[in-house]
Amino acid sequence: MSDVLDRIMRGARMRLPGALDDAIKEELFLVLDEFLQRSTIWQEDITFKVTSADTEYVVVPSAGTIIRLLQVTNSDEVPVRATMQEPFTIVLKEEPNEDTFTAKVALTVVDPTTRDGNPEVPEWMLVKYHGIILDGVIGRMMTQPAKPYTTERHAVYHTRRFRNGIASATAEAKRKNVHGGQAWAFPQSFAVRRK
Amino acid sequence: MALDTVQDFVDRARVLLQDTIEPYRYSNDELVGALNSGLLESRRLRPDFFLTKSIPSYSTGDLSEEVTIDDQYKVAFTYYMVGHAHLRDEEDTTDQRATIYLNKFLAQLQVVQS
Repeated sequence: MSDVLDRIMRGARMRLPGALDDAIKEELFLVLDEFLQRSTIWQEDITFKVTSADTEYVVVPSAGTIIRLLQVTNSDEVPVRATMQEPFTIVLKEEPNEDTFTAKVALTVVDPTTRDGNPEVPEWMLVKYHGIILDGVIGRMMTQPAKPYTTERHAVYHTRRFRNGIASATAEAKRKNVHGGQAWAFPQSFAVRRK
Repeated sequence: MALDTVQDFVDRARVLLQDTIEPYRYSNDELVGALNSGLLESRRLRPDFFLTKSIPSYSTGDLSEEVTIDDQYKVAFTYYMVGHAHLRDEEDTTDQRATIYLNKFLAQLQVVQS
């Protein structure tokens, strides 16, 4: 991951004369957060055991922090109605039978960062979207007032590219990166089974 | 000449002040004090200088202490030291020189073409 982040930092330094690395890293964190919150591309399946005695369960991701509950399914991959009013706490609509459920959640970056001040994100995401992330960083940096790199016109340009990139990433996430794939699949709960 | 330690900054400022031969016109205390004032000033102009650290303060007690300023802005602080030193004098020419150097410090912190 450090190679990709180094490339992002080098790209930012080239286009932001007088920018400090600490400032770039601050904006990088905010850019990654916005990118992940809007695109929902960083997802994780978290399994948790359920019993009939309880409808509330706490789930914890392996990295980052949960921003959205996308879906809960049972062991037969049938969707289960659930909500997440508070992050990490899943509330089931109905009392379940004893089973193992899977919660698909969307994640974003969170503090603390690594020792060199970089946020923890999946490397594949940085490899694939480093250009979009760089546009976001440059755009945000250029909106800072009274800096050698303050440039309103270029800030608009780079921010527009960043937002367009988020839209593309969102669409790709919905299609699971399948070229020409459809985002919607027939709900399995409607399936008719032979008796 | 590298700009790493407090002594390096003082030496560089003395060259611009044409005050390199003892007894000095401007004491080490004055020049180090000017450096500290410049750091406080920079906190107002460029808070990003101190995102991960507090504002340092240096003394003549240890002139070998490393000055923790980003490399690209070290020269700007020597200009501040020179301008600040000139402020002490009362002649018209030194007032102009003080203004020039202090403005150069401000410009280098905020503008590329400086």
